[in-house]
Amino acid sequence: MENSKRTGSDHSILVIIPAFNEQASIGQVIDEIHVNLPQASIVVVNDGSKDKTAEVAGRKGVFVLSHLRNLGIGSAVQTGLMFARRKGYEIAIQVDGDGQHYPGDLKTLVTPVLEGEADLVIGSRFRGAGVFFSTLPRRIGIFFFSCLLYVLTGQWISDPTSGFRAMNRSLIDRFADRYPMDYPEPEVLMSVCRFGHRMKEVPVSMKPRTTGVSSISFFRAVYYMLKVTYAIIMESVRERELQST
Amino acid sequence: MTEIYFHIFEALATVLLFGLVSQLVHQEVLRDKYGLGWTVVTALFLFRVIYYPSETGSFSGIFLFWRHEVILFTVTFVAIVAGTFLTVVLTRYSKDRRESIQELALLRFEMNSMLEPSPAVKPIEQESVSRNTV
Repeated sequence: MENSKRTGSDHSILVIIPAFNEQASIGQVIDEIHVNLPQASIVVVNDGSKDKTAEVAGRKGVFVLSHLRNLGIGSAVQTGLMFARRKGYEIAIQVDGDGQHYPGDLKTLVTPVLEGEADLVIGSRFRGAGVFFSTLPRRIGIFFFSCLLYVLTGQWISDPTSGFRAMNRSLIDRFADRYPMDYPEPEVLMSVCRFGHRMKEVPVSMKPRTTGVSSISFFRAVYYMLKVTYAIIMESVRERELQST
Repeated sequence: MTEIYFHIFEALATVLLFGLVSQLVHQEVLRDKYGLGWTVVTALFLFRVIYYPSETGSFSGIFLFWRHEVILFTVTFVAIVAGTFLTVVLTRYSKDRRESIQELALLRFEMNSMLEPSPAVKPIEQESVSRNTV
């Protein structure tokens, strides 16, 4: 932030909440973030919602950016990162708007970035003692992506599809320019690894969804697997080319 | 029965092959959410064009049509070029539209901030944190 630069402060934190039709949960998510990380600013990226997501968020006194049409999670996160870069934030945290991420884990998530241990910190649902509410096919899919990333990068990520993440300024700059659009989480990890950034996983809990429905139906799940597998492999090829030039 | 499995395998291999090539184009040029959709459509179209004339299998079909089916070869070639061009144009349009919507969201925010200062703008002391506070 310009303000923080003037005051010589070390860091400023922006929590990015991509939201699509989350009017039922977004208010509580914002409240819980305020309680657990009061020093952070919050931006809700309203991704073309048909309901009152933007109004609810606006009444909570946070920044609200509204897409005129639904562009998908990747674009929503990228818009948040563009905002973070323009406003000079040093750390960006991504939190889902559906209320499944446990805001009590925010400090755990952001601490390694603050202390310079990692450029990207991923909240892993598999490293903690908490219960992760998920189906067997979903777990198999997550395991598959972990294996694929391990083969391509040599780094084991237990929860590559987690959308609960914190990143530092260098990654804000990188991903504000180019961010995967469709189901971006695993592809982002590939990109982070290939450019030599440091990643770290920390244990987090996850709450069961109480409102709305998951966007991953059976056919979408098949599409997801194909798309992300292709994308990860192509991303690895792309980065090698870039690095060699 | 074995022959059926062979044909199914051949069909899948062909689709995957063209899908991979098409996806390379998408990833390098387009990087858009419609990438895989267009990949599948393109791959299925190519598969249909190439596989259909062959009675023995897709790959022999590739070699058959340039020997016996000049028209089909021409159609295939034109389809590949046109399909790639169409894909690039459509997805470029989609990418431009996405970036415009993102920029517009940021611009609207800035304009609203100028007109009416947002309550979300916190005092300097609250906005900035040090390690000790987290």
